[in-house]
Amino acid sequence: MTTSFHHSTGDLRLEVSGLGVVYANGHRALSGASFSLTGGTICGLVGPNGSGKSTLFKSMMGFVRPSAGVVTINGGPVREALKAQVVAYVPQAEEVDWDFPVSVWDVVLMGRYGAMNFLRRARLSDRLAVEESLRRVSLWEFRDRQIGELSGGQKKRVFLARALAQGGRLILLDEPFTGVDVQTEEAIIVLLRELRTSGCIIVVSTHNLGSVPEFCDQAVLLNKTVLACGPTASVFTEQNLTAAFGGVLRHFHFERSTIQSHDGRSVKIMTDDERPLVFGKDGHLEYKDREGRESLIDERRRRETEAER
Amino acid sequence: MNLYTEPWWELFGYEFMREALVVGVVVAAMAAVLSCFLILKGWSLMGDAVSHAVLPGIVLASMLGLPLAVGAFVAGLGCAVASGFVKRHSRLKEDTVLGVIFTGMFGLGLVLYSKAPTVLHLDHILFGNILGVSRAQVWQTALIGVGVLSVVLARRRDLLLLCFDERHARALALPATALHYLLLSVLALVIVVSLQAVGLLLVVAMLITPGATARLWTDSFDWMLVVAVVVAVVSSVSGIFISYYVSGSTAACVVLVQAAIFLLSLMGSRWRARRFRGARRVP
Amino acid sequence: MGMWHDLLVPLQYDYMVRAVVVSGLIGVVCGFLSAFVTLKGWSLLGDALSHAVVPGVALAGLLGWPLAAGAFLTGVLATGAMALIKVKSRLREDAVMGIVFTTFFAAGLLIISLTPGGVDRKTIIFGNILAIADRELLQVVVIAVVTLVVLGCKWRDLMLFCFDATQARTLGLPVVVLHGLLLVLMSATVVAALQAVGAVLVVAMLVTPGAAAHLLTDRFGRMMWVAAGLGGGCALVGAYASYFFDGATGGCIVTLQALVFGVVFLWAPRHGWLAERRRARGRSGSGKAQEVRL
Repeated sequence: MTTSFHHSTGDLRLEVSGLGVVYANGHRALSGASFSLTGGTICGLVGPNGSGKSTLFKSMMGFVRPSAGVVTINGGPVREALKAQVVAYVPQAEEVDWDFPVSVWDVVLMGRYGAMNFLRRARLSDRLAVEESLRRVSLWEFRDRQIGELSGGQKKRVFLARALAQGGRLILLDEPFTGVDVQTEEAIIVLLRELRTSGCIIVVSTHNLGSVPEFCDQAVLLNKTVLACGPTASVFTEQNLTAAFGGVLRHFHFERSTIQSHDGRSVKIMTDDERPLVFGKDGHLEYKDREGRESLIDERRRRETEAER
Repeated sequence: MNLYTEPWWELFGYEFMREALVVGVVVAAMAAVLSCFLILKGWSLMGDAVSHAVLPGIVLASMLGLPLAVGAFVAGLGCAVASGFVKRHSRLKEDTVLGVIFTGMFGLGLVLYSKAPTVLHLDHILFGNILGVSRAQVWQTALIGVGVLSVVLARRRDLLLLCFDERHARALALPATALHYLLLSVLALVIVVSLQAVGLLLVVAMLITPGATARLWTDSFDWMLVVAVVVAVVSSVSGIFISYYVSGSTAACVVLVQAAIFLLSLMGSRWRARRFRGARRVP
Repeated sequence: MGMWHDLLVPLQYDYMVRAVVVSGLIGVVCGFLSAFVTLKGWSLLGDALSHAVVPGVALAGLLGWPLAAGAFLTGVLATGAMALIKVKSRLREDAVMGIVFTTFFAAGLLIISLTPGGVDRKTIIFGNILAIADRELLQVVVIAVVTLVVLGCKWRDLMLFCFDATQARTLGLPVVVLHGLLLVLMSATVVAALQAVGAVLVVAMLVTPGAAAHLLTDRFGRMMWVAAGLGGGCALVGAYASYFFDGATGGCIVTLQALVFGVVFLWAPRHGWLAERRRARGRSGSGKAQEVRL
């Protein structure tokens, strides 16, 4: 799948240590935030509105000057990583001017600008990279469309293709699943997993709690600082989420299933309206389906049998 | 250069000065009240656009022998309505549409003027001529001023809601469209009346700066109205005096005094903010 | 025969031919730039800049400097003032711009009114291309050529900056430099266009061609050329026509541009008002004829 101009191999490392950001108006957006990620991984960045998610993104892109701490990518400053085309950003749909007179092809080609010469004339390698990126997100047939003429899911995929064409290895996605149908959501997740396999770090900012355990290996829980980070299952505990979201989340407790009285299992649901997050009785995470979770199930069975002994 | 040496209080002895001051104060108060709404609604460019767009209306009215104010009002409102229409039915941004339409109308005004066999003084329309107002104009200004002020102040809660959150205003079943056009009409009317005092090129300053200055002083809308009016009246009166003594453009002097007050307020608000933050840091 | 003869009269005068050619050149440069200005949403900034250069022109006239130098200086000063006040206050951007440009403009008018022997007020406000001096002509040509060369080299970068500054930054492009470059190009063209249409109407040259072109095409490259063509064409014809309108060159050019915009708005093949209505009727008329969007 990967070709020479795409993601060069070698472990990518993102390190955020003691990061503090204070804006000019005195607003303290982040303080003492620390975590580190090593590629390939998909990491969910979770926190309520105003928790500093976008500030953290901006720090990783070098847009805000930290008042304390530092962000390093592969051990070097963010600026060098930007010059080396390591960081790619997929914006929220609302941030884009969809009436801008550019075609799908133009947008994806823009991902190559950093690597082009002074006049930004596309070479053959640039065209090939754009074509492959468009085919990967199955938008090749739409390359001549003006971007405003696409559906919500296609719009999202255009900007993913741009990140692919850029060859970015630290890929930042801002709310990738809002306004996107289930089919596209699944297609995007498949693509993100492929990128993970090739060693990329993918950071997904989302307020959609339920989707995080489905596809994120790791999670960073944010509220003005990093409250918890690590493997999703260990971060997504009821205590952690309550600490991060406070009263923002809705809690539903079903001590006993209301429909099947013989079923003894009880579940707890926490949701911020979109996809609910489901916990089992003893606080473990429940997933949408069993496929791909065999190892988890096996481990649980083993623990249960041990406990019975 | 300085030909005038009499002390300022003696200027009140001149009829033309008294009339200029009355017009200046009324216009300043009206524009200041309106500026508070425009600042909150983000309509600074709208003020700019409507003020330029009145030109063809004035020229046409004078060609047809109609009252100039009527022509100006119709043209100003026409600009706002046309911009709204084009905005709704095209992919263009609002500021672009306004820019296209108001410059087009202003250009048309100039072309018409070049062909108009009128006694119109283009200079007076563009730059104002407050020291040469007639008695009739004083009365006209005062009447319109009182009318505008009473309507706007009576409906200020509704208008404020419209500026703050138009959708909420609609949800409350307020006649949002009617209020929208009320605000636009008042804007056009104020600009028409202000032409005499400051001219159409600088009216927009009267429609932005007082409100912005007041915004720096207070968070309460009622106080904003008060501060804006005080600032505008003070700058208007002192601007008229200054322009008399330096024999420079009156409108320019008024606008520059307003700008100076704005700058002082800005520095003052920064100082207050720093002191406040400093106090908070030490509990 | 007689009518044709009348129409050719303006071209018998050297000053008219010169004015028509220079206006056309300014129109083309402004047209190119207008594609960026309209898409970046900088129309108000163009208006602000065109007013803010007035005190510079007035001072330069007094001191015997090149007008372009003075204009450029106050243009940059005003931009700096806007940025500073924007950061230091919580006022909306449009209000800040309004305050700054009216202040600069008022200062310019005051300087002019205090110095009767200096630059003519009418020249600054309405331009005076018909009587342009050789020195000013040279400035205009230099500005135009430099702007065209810079745009020719860097238009792709500037397009990306207008479309998605965040992306430009993550690609490691110098966004601050691009921002400054676009501002400088705008200030320079404002100074040039001041000669043709005057301070009040400069903004039209920087907005209207781009707006019309945006309704005609869905590709940025094409939009730039269409805007340049419209801007140049309107300026040529408008300057020529001003012979019959008492020398109101600015008024003629801008009125013509607005008329062209009106035609485009109504009849643009895909994004015009009539096309939109036709589509809307087609959609409501037969329920099946909906646009298929995959």
